[in-house]
Parts: sequence; C-alpha cells; structure tokens
Amino acid sequence: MTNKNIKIESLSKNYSDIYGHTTQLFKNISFNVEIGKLTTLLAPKGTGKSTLLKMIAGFDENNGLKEKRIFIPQKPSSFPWLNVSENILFNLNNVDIQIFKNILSFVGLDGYEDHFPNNGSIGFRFRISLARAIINKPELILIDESISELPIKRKYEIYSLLRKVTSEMGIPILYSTSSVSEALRLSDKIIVINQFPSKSVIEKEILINEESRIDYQKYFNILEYFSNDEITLLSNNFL
Amino acid sequence: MNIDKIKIQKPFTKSNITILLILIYLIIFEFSWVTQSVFPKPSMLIESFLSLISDYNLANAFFLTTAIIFPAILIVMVMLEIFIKTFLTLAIKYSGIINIASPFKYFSFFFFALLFNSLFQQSLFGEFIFIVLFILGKLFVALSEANNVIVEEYVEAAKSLGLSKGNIFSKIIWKSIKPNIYSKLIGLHTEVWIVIIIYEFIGSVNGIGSIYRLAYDYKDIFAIISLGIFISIVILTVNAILKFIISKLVFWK
Repeated sequence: MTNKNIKIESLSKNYSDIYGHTTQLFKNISFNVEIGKLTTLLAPKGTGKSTLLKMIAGFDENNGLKEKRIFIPQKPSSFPWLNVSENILFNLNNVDIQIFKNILSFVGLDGYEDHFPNNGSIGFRFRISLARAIINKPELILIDESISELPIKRKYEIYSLLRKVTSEMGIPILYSTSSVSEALRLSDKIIVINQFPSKSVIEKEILINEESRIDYQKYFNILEYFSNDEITLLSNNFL
Repeated sequence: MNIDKIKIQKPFTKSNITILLILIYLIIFEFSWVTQSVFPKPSMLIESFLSLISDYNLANAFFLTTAIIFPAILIVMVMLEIFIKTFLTLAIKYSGIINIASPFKYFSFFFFALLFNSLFQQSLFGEFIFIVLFILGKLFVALSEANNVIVEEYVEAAKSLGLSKGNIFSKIIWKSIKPNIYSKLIGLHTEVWIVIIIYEFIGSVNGIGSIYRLAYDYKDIFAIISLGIFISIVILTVNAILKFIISKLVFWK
C-alpha cells in the first residue's frame, strides 16, 4: 500500500425531483483521508452523506479509480443466500486460506464459517461486510452509519474493531454519522459538514487525539452518573 | 417455567374447521336428513368418484392434464433460471411497456383459450404452449413488479465489490427477488389448474376439463362435485409439496 493520503477533490452533486426542480446537495467538497486513520463525516440526517460516500466509492460511471474502494451501506448488505465464507470470498479467486482465516478471526467470526446471515443480527452481518471489505485489500473502506441501530455495548465492540482495522491493518476508513458522540469516540479526524443542503461545505475539520477520545471503560463509568437523556443532551451539545 | 415453550392453543385453525365441516356434512346428509335430494350424500359421492374412474376414464385424463401442468411449470422455471439476465433486463428496464403489452392484463385468458383451441384443434402440443405462455406471462408481470422488493443494499455492495452489470442482475437482483417470485408459484399453480380445466372444457377432447364437459352434458351433478373435490385435494396436496420445496430452495428472505 502506498503511503499517501487519499485526496477527495471538488465533489458536487445536484438532485432533481420529479417536478424537475434541481437542488444542489453539495458543492466543491474536498478533503483528505489519511492512510491508517479513521475519518468521520459528521452531518445531520438528510444532508447527502450517503450520496457523498457513494460518489467517493466510485459509483458514478467513468470514475477513473485505480484501486478498490469498498462501500458498506447503512442497512445489512451481506447476502443472505450465501454463508459467511461465501459472503467474504464473494467475487474473489485464489485467496490464501490463511489470510481468510486470519481475517475471519480478526472480525470475530471464527467458527461461524458455515452460518447463513439470514437473521436480524446487524452486528453479525456488519462483521461479514467488514471482513469482505478487508479481504478485498481496498484503498479505502467507506461505512455509511451501518451500526447506528446497534445496542450501545455492541457498538463499542464494533468501534474497537474499526479502530483496529485502521491502526493494525493500515486501511483507512471514512465513516459517516449524524451522531456527535459517535464521531468523537470513533475518529482520528472529524469532518463537519454544514447542515444546509444548498450550501453544504466542509465547515471544519477536527483532529482527535487518543487523550481526548473517551474510552470504553470511562464511558460506562459516566453512564452510571447520568440518565440516557442527559447523555444524549450532553453529546448533542458537545460541539 | 419457560415462556417460549408455552403454546397458545387456537381452537379455530384451518384444519379444525375443515374436519368440523366434514363431520357436520357426514352427520346431516348421510345419517340425519336422508330424505333430501338437493345435496349429495357422502356415500353417493364416493360411488360417483368410482364411476369417474371406470366410466369417465379419470386416470387417463388426470395423466394428460398433469403431464401438461407440471412439465410446463418446470420448463418455465428452468427458462427463468437460464435466461434470467435477459428477462430481468426486459421486465425491470421496460416494465411500463410490459405492463401495457401484457395481453393477459386486458384480455381474459378465456379469449386466448378459445383462440388456441381454434388454432390447435385437439392438440396436446397447443395446450402445452398455451399453458407455458400463461405461466411465462404471469411470471413476467411478477418480475416487473418485483422492482420494489430488490434490496438496494445488496446491489450497492455488489457494485462496490466490482461485479459487472450482468452479474449484478443474475447473482444479486435475481437472488434478492427469488423468494418473492417463488412464493407466487403456489398461487400460480392453483390458477394454472383453473385455466387448463377451462381450456380442456372448451376443447372437450383431453384431460380433466373434457370429463367436466362430459359430466355437464350428461347432467351428472354428482360426478361434477366429486371431481371438484378430487381436484381441490390434488391442488392442496401439490401446494403443500411446493411450499416445502420452495422453503428448501429459497431459504432466505
């Protein structure tokens, strides 16, 4: 993997409704995603985060991307007609079995190779999607709020897993979220997008260091002193 | 006590109601109200069924009808699996055109049954083609409507993994809508029986429909009723088997 930043440059998107009215969803968005870092795209719901991620993933035709960028959608995207192994190895040939086993163990799916993901477990299905992304050796993994529906303790396990992907495997992640607290706990860098669709611009970039990130243990200690409503209020007003 | 293991007993299940109705029918018309002649006695229905076998040659007719229904369904399903890429492209991309062009939508199948009977007189091949086209038409409409059940996340994931457009159709979209399409097979199987019986009734040469025609000409009401009961048992049994096979073939939702 080359040791350089991934430059996202001048992305704009217009949206036309059925009556022909055109709205500019975002305009000239540019930023850097650093190798081995977890960058969060923070913006309220409905501001075009998913669209932006899909554009970065190269969903538009003639995108000219030289390396793979894997997009993990918001809702579970592991294929329920394939078992865990088949899902992870989907569309791949000649994969080293040891690499496959290592990745399986890395995402915590060891022993589940033959299970089918046709159940409601979002965490289980997300781990499959993540393993599938990793084994493809992508330049960048883009995650669209895929774990927002998870219970808080499961979320923390996934946060820790995502941080390991960036730090141990060196694969950068661009994670979109509308939760300030999630962005704070997860990211090395937060990119805040202005909430008005027609004026969407990068408002600020916040760098988070290890000290300022609240860790798992501390968070649950805090929870003992506050009600859930108060925690939500605190995290929503943090910035 | 494990709450999960407590089963709520429903007194009015489908099978309970059926058994109850059969018992009422037996008690009233076989043993209690023996003087009436409007409704057939159960024992007379059994006699009629036996006469269907001996006098109407039911076995041969049943063989001819089923030899068309089941191979026709099978052939259409195999065609669907082989040419799914083309079918899906046509059904999804041009769904509007298909809906307008779908002749079964605006013409009763009765019209086509008459047409085919006129074109292919006394021909089993003509009957087979008619049923294949009927099933194909129905499934084509189902495919075009299945646009709404495609799971967008699967398509996005596949795109991201570098799957070609053609493979996305056959490996992702088809798999995604397959449970929906296969579940329609049960209703379609029931419909096909009705359609084929009417087709054969018009032609009055082959199959179960021709027995209905004969019994109708002879005003043999008991034969018509016992044949109706027999066919409904066959349809129910095949539907149950189909349901089982489909649950094994498309186990995902």
